[in-house]
Amino acid sequence: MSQPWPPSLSVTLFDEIGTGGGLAPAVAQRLAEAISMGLIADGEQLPSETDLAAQLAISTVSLRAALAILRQEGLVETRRGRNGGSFIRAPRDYSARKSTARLGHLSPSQLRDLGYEVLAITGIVASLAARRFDDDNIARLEDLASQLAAAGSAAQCLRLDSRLRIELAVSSQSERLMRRMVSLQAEYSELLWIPAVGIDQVECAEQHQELTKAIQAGDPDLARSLAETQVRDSTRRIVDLRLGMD
Amino acid sequence: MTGAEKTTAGAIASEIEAMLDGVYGHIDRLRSMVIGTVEPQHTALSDAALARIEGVARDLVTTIPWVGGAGFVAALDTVDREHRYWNWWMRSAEGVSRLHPPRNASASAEYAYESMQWFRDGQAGMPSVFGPFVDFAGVNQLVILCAQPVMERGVFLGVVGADLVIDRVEIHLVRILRKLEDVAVLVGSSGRVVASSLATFAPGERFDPAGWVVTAVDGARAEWKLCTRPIVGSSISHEAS
Repeated sequence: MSQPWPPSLSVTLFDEIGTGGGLAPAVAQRLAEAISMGLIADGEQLPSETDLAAQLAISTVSLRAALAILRQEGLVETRRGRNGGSFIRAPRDYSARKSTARLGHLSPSQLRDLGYEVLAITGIVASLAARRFDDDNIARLEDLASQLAAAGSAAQCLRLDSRLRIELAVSSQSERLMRRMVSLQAEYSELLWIPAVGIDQVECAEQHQELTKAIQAGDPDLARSLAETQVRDSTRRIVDLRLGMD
Repeated sequence: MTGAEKTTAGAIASEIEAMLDGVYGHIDRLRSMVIGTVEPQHTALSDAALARIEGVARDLVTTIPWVGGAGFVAALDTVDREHRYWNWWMRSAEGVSRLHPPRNASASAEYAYESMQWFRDGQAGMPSVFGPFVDFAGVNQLVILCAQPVMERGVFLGVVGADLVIDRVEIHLVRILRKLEDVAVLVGSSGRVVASSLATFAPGERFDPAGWVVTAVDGARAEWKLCTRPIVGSSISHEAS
């Protein structure tokens, strides 16, 4: 029996795939982002090429090309033999070099535009969350924030911070905003956690905690304003770093 | 609403209870399937056992149009030597298909169901009707989960249940609620709206019942409240927003 893959949460990443630079690189990019966000786990086995291509609604030729890119980047490993198959290899270390290269490929104006979209979605989910959270959401937000404060690597910070922002969208109880946030975080968090951007993980965790309190207090306006301030500051830092490049 | 026969809050509450009872009838069948097949030790589920669970879940999803999925979520370290295990069937384009199962421990870490309220209620031996909530990393939909613990000789084996998909169940509930002359808001166990006769109160929103007449919708498990109040002119929608 064929089973949906990637796991249903990461399949949302493929909702709005751009094909400007060719389908295979776009699919590879989205898979790589899902891996960096921890949405596809280390060691996860890929289904057969035929099944996976069918599920992503692309040809096996495009899929093979995408997998070749991922293999080259060390994110997918193919083993032969009885327990063979293709497996996800999550990078041990976050590659600041790779993310910085991606930053360089985006213009300051494109980065601001990405920032505006993140701002719009984050503002509305924070405000909705304050009207719609349940206790499980609050518990997860608190738990993720304390994990973020204690995280030991940029890779972990990236994973926990994006998971926090996704949980914020989950707390808004909106399927569409949740999907949009998953897809936006894939693009945005990788840039945000480039060390040169200078995000302080403890300060970031405290901001998340403060936001969680505003949500729990049922204060939509305060939640929105805290969330927006945080995004504005992050985007300014990312653009600032980009302006100093090349 | 013209010409519709009006009724009482108590009658509406009973109708909603009966609807939940219908779902729980199937869930109880699922529970007896699991009791017959899962042992309170590390155990592998045979193909025949899986097929029986699938059969009931399939039946549930096909007989009740607002059920989006159903199945079994195991107590930690109980089935197939897996830390987390679920056998969940969902309505899909092809009819009914299995929700992605965890492939290994790190792959299932994203869906840490043991920290979720409905699972903890189950561990405490209590059924629950949880939500509406967006079940992120699970079915990824806005659902209400009707959950029932599976206990065998005092040992907790996991939770069986069914998802009521808001997409489908809201309209059905509103049809019931609108039989009342009053404004009616059905409020779930976490104090959030399940459905309402007015668009002003959307599913998932937190609701303050102060100033409303509250009728309990117990069924055995729901702890839902039916909140009603008379329509006052046309001011209600402004007042509430």
